[in-house]
Amino acid sequence: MAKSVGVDSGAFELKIVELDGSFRRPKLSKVCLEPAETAGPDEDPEQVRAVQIREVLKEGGLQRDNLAMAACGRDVLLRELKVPFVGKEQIRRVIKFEAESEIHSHSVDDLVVDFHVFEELESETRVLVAGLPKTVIEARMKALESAHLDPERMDLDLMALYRVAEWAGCFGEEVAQAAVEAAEAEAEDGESDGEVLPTTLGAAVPGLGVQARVVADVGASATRVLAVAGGELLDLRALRIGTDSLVQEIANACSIKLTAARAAVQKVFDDGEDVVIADSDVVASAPTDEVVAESREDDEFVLVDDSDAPPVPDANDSSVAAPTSSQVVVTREIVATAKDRFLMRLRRELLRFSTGLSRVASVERVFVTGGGSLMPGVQAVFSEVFSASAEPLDVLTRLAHDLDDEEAASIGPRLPIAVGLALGQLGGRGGFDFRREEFAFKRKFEQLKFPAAIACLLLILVPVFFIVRRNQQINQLETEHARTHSFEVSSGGRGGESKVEATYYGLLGHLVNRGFPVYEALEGENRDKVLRQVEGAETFDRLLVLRSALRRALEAEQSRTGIFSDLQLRSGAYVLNWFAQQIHDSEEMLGKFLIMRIDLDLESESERQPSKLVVKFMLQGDNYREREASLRARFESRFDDPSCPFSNVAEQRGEDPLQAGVPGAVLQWQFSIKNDFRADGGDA
Amino acid sequence: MFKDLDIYKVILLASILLVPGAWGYASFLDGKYKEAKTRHAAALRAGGVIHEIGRLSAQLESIKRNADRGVDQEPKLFFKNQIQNTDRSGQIKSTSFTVTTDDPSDRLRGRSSGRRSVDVTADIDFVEKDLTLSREYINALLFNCESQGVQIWKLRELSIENEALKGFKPNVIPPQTVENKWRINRLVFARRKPASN
Repeated sequence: MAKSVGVDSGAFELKIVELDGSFRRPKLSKVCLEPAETAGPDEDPEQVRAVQIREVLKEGGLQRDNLAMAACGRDVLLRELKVPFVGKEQIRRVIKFEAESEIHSHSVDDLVVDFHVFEELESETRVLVAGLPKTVIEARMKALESAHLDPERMDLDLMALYRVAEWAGCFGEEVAQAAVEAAEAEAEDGESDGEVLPTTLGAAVPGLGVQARVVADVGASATRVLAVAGGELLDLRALRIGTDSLVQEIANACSIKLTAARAAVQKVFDDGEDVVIADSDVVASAPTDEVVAESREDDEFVLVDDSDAPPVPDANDSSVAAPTSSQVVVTREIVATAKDRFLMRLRRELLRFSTGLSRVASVERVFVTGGGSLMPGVQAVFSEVFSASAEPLDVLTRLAHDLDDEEAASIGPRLPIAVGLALGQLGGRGGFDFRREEFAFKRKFEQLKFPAAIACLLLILVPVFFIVRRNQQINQLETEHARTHSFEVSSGGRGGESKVEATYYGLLGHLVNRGFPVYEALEGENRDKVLRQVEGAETFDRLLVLRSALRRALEAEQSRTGIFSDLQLRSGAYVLNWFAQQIHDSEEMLGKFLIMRIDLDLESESERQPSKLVVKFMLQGDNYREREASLRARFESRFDDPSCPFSNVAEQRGEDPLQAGVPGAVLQWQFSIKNDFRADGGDA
Repeated sequence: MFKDLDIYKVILLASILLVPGAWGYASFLDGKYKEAKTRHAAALRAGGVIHEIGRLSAQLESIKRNADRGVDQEPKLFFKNQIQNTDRSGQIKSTSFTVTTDDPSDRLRGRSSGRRSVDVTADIDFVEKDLTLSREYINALLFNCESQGVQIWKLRELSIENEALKGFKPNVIPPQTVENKWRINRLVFARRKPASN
C-alpha cells in the first residue's frame, strides 16, 4: 500500500499527516501536531522550520519518502490569463512567456511558474498562473536539504485545500467520485499531469451566473478562501488576515509576549474569565515577533490587495486595560474588542472576495475549516457575507483513522491542508508543483543514474581494455609459439601430387621452416603430411601434434629401415677411449707405465653384477705406490661425471711387487661400468 | 515502455547484458592466456616438447643418414670389410679371422622404453695363431666398426694382451721397452633390435 506524507508548516502550528492506502480509501495512519518553533534573532526561520519537520517526522515514526509540502499562498504570485492554446503540454511550453506580460513585479526568469487550467474554450484556455520566486524556493530547499529532507512536491496551500474539499464531497458527491475516478485513471496510465478536469455539475442561474460553493481555511496568519462551481475552481485567494492579527493586537496593547497573548486569548475564549499575565511574559515595548514581520513582507505576491495592518490600540481607548505597574491582565473586554475588530476586518476581506466573483449568482454552501474557524463568530461572518449557512469542512469523517471522537473534533479542523497535500501524493489531481527547473525533484534513481551510468561504463570499459590487452598478449604468445606465417598447397603439376609450403613464426618456425631440423629430418610426402596435421591444429597444440607426428614418423622409419636409434647399446669403444684418455693425461705423473692386458665385458646390464673393464698394468720406479694412488684418485674424482663410464675401481688381485731388485709392481684393476653414461656428451 | 528512455537508462539497460558478457569474455580470455603461457613455458623447459621434438628429429635424421649408407648390411660382410679395410699393410687375410653371428630371438630383454628387444652378436675370432696387431690398428678397427655403416654395432667384449708381456713373472727383470704387438683373445660386437623384428 502506498503511503504519503503531507506537511503543513503554519505560523502557529506544524501539522504533518501520513496517509496510507489509495485516493479512494485513504487511512490516516499517523498525525503529528506541534507548535511551530520560532526562530531566534540569529537563526534562519527556514532552517528552524526544516529541523523541526525532520525531528517531528523522526519522533512520529513517519516516512520521509513521498513527502509533499505547501508554499504559503502569501508568497505566491497568482494571475489569471487566457492563452491561445489548448493542451497542457503546449501551454507549458509558452506559459512563462505568456505570464511575462502579466507579472511586472518580477522577472519571470526569477520565478518558477506553474499553471492550473480553469477552463478550456474553443481555441484558447483560461488558466491560473502561479509564480513563486526562486529565492524563496532556494532558501527552503537549502534548509530542507541540510535537514536531509527532499519533498517530492511543493504545492500551493490553496490547491491542497481545494483538493481535500473536492475529495471530502464539499462540491457534491458526483464531483468527489469524478475526482476519484480521474485519480485512478491517472494511476493506471502511470502519468499524472496534475490537470484539473472541470465537471459541468454547477447549476447555472439563467442570466445571472452559477451557484458556487465556498471553502475557507482560517489560519493563524492568513485566511485561504476559494470558490467552486460544479467542481470548477472559480477563484481563490489568500487573505492576509488570520487569528494572529487578533493576538498581535492584544500583545501590542498589553506589551506582552505573543505566545502569552495567544494563550490568554485561548483561555478567555474557553473560560470566559480575565487572565493574569505572568511578569516573565511582559515586555518593555511592543513585540516585533516574526508573525508581524512575515505579515508585512512581500505584499505584492498576494493576488488580492493588502489587508489593513492590525490597528494599534488607542492608549485612551477605555476598552483596553492599561497594565498596572505590578501585573498585566488580559480582560474579557480586551479580547472581545479585539475579536470584534478581527471579525470586522475578516468580513471586509470576504466581501471584497465575494465581490470579485463576477460569474457567481449565489453561494449555496460555505465550508469553513482551520484552527481559526473555531473562534466564536467566525462562521457567522462567513454565513453573513455569503448568505449561506457556514458549516465545518469535515475531513476525518471520510478518512479512516484511529482517533477518538474528542481528539478528532479537536484536531480535525487543523488538518485539511496537510491531508490535501498528502492526497495529492496519492494521485489526487490538480494543484501546482513548484519543484521545477533547477529545483526539480529527482527520485533516487534519477539522482543515481548519472554516477550509475558512469560506473556501468567503467564496468564495461575495464573488461574491454582487459580483453584488448589479453588479445594482444595471446597474439604475441601465439607468434612466439607457433603462429602460421604462410601455408600454401601447390599442385604437383603432371604428377598430380600437391606440395605443401608452410612457414611459421616462433618455436614451430625454428623447427619446421625450410632449413630447420624437422624440415631436414622429414622429407617428401611425410613432411607434407606432418605439416597438414600441424596446420590443422590449434596454435598451442601444434607442437604437440608435431611431436606425435614425429613419433609416428620415427616408428615408421624404424620399421622400414630396421634402425632403432632408441635401442642403443653402450659403446665399448667409448669406454676404452675414455680410459685411454685418462692414462694419456696422466702420462707425466705415471712415469714408467706398461699396460699388459685389457679385458672388456659389456654384456651384463645388472646392477649387482655390472659390466667391467679389467686392466693389468705394471708400474716401475721408487715411488710407484704414490703414483698408483694418484691414478686411482684421478679416476675416482671423475665417477660423478656423466661422461665417465665407470662407477667404481678396485684392485682385483692386489699388488704383485717386482722382485729382481727393480722397484715396482704388477697391478690389476677392475672398473665397474655404469649402465647409463653420456657418450661424447650425447645421450647414453 | 521506451518513452522515458534517456542515454543513462540506455547505458544501464545495456550494461545489464554487456557487463556480465564483457567480464565473462575477459575471464575466458584470461584463462586462455594463462593456459597459453603455461603451455609455452612447458614447451621451452628442459625435457619439454621442444626438447623431445629435437630428440625425435635427431633420431629421424640419424636413421635417414644411416639408411643412406645401406640398410642392415649383412654382418659378416660388414665386419670382414671393416677388418680388411682398416688393415693398410695387408697383413690380415680373409682366412685370418672368422665372424660368427648369433641372433637369439628367444633372448628377450625388458627395456625402459617398454619395448622387448634382443641383442644380435658378432663374434670375431682371429684364428691365425701368430697374428699380432698394433694398438693403433685395434683402435681404428673398433672405431670403424662402431661408426661406419648404420652405426648400430657396438663393441661388447674385448680381450687383448701385449705379446711381449705375455706370461710375465714379477721375479723377472722387466724389459726396458716392449713392442707394440697385441694379441686379440676375444672380440665381440653386438647390436640391439626389437624382438618382433
